[in-house]
Amino acid sequence: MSFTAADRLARAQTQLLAANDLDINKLQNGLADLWGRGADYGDLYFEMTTRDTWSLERGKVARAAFGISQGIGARTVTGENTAFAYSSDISSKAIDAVTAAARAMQSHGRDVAETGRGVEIKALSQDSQAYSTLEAAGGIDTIQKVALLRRLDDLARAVDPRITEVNAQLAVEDATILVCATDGTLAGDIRPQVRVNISVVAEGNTRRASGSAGDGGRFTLGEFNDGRLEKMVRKATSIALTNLEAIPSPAGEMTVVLGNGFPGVLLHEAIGHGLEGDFHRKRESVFNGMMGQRIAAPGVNVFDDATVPDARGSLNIDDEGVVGQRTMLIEDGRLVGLMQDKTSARIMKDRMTGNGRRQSYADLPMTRMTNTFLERGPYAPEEIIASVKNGIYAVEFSGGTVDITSGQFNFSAEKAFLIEDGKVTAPIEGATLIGVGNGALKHISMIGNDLELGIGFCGKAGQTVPVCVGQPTIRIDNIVVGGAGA
Amino acid sequence: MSIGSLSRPVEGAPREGVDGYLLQSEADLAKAVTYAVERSTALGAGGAIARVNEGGGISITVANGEVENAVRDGNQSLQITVFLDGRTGMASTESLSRNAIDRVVEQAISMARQLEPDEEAGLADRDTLAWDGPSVPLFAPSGHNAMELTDAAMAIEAAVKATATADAVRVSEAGAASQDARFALATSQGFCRTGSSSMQHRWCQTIAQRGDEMKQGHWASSVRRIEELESAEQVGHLAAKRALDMLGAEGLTTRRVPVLIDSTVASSLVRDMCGQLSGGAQFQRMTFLPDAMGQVLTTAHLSVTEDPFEPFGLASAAFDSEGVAGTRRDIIRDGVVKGLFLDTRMGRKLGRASTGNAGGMRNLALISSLTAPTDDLHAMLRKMGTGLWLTRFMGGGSNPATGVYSRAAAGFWVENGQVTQAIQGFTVAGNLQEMFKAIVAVGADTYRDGAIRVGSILLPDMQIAGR
Repeated sequence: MSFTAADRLARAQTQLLAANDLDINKLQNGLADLWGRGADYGDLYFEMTTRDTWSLERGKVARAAFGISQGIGARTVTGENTAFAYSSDISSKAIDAVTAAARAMQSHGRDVAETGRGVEIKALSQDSQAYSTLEAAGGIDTIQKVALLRRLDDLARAVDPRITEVNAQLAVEDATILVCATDGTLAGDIRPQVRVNISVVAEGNTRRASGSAGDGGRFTLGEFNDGRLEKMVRKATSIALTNLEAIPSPAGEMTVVLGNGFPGVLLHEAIGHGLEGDFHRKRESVFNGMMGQRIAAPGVNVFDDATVPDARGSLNIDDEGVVGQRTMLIEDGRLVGLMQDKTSARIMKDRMTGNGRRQSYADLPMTRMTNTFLERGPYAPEEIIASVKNGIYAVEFSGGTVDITSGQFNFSAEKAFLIEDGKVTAPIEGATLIGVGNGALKHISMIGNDLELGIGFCGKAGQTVPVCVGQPTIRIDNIVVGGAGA
Repeated sequence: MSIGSLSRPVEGAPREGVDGYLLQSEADLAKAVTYAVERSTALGAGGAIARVNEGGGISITVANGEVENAVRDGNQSLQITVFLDGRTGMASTESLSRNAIDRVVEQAISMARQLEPDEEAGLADRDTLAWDGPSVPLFAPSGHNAMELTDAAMAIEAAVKATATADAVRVSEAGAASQDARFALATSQGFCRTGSSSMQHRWCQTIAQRGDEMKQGHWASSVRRIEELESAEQVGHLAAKRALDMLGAEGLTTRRVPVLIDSTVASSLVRDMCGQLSGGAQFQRMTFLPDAMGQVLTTAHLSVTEDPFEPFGLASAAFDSEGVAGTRRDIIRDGVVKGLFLDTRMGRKLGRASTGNAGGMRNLALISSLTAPTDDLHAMLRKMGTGLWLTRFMGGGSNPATGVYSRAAAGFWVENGQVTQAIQGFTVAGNLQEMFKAIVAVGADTYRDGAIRVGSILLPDMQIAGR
């Protein structure tokens, strides 16, 4: 089953416009009002999102929640000045109110006489097929949702008697968005999103340890077959059980092998945020002015790719109506591209890359990542581990942060081991890896052939959006590992 | 329904209006929650609790002498929780129309029917509700319009420019915002109370530059009443200074050293401490101190107090999100755990009464019996002698189940009580179980970070990892 951009727009128009007695004419008039005061750009964003979550705690699914979030956001941009207002009502009156409020907020002193410019919007001609379903639940009813969570509980408890607590959550989200803009944009998207996560506690003789794992994307709940659930359970329980035995991580500079998948948070923090266009427009990024320069070892290729089929961070269109795309950021170790939203691209005279995203209608779009990953290389993961005399092997991470201005980044291991004489040995706890974005990737010395994506939440300026990070197994020489061990 | 809050004139708005940026009265909101609760019981819920929030305000950011973002906020949402024999269905909507409320209530009830019972779930007991306790003053609308807030943000940028040194410093964002909020809470026991609050924010993000080297600095002031705000000069000056002082930062080699955690970032340790005592951590045993009541958590000179009723406190509330009033109390006294943070359900699961902490912890303060009024920052640096003055945490964190603690940080190297060098690119690590018992001193340089008041914290010995 596949849906074209026209199908999605038609559906968005039905749900967001027709259902609220609105039509294209009303949108064009609203945009003309926004634009009329001499703004460079204006847009109207419509959203309706429904979300249900089901929670399992101590073997019982006793709580569930349902929510609807809907509204309109109106924005005008003049130079670097943005004015913004929003409403949780979708109606003709609400469009008048938000456009008036946005205009009232527009920069003072720039009160250009109304020009009465007309606006004509029309559907995007480009198509995209980043996700194949229109509805996240995909025919799975509530009884099956409860059964899925119970199955996770059974699977986790069967792993080991030391697993004493299991919590799990399932979230199903369907968002319909429509965006129109004074540059003629008219686009809609139907965005499914499912997520299942599990957290467990293991109790040994003298201590407790926890572990968690999550999976999901823009597909239907039906994709969560036993194989998929088992993989998630193995991951969560092995983190907890491994950490029952862990010794404090050594501290100092050492060689590190990072596992595939979510450890790609390294790319997200070390370089991803630093290559977001808005940070370049404002000269805040440590990578400012480094286009074309070597910022990583030869053989390192990094992409931000909104077109990965059904991935959590994928987008048919971004929240400014630009088609989602695959953007090469680093080619053979050299910086070749930035991610851009409309405003930053316009001011920097750069290409739009479909990275304008917002948390909801009530938030302003910014340059954001989608699915960001390091492309595969030639080595088998075992080969990479065997090449290290002494170091650490970090397999699972909880997350990381970066100061994009100084480039200082860090990310925290949840499951890691010592490597001694090319062999994985004792588990270690509390390993935080740190480095500087424009330096760390120069120390990548081996890239594996086992690329995998992991799911995450990315926070920036108070807004959270769903993303994927990813990489194959890699070896990095000389990275600082912080832990409590000597 | 919310559009009215946006159609209110925002430029040159009259100042006499006591309602600030809000459209709806407390009575309007009470009507919406009462309807949601009545609808729930009519459809078969054994009990129901509904809360509605309305927020409104203006937020302005400036850079390079120009307004960057000017945002008019106006939002509202209603949450309803229904109980059917211990089955808990929750729903929320941002539209307060009867249709929208009907839809989410029906959804909450139909979902609840598919669930399993949890005996401890349900409304708070009638006699624990704050039927007529005093309200806490939190509402102090500034009525500031976009122009006034723009002037305030511009003044912060001017203060940054005035902080001239040989190195360049610029504003990446200076901001001023004023927000008002209002809520109503009702339960099917007939409880219905309302409240209003205000927040004023000023903030500044700076970048100091020396050649290719760039460093960020940040300072913010967030209070309820306009007269409590730090001046634009102070916000701008401190934001500039914090960036400038980090220029030329060097690494730190791997070693064990004493650490003074600056009061502006020390609240995270109090949060780690109190996190051990939350109902969730205790019930799920996601803690290194299960069955915490009466046990020793910290060194004997430390206590933590909670005050829900502080007038214009940042985490004050007359009652919690279930309608239960908290109390002024000791959480930790002389190192021993005296209180947990419980809502009704977690209280029942642990065989205890709710402590009025549904929705979070209230105003907390870390107090040491050893602190002298003269223990300002300089005195604390002298007390440490030689070691790390930690002024910024970056990522990393702690594991509540094991106490394993490992964070990336930055700060200054101190020799004999004197700052000698900015330092960065290292981690500090230890274990919370030992750290809490090892705290040597807490400064009198108290800083309020949201719900938490704390002075700088001196730890005798932490593992540093660096180059």
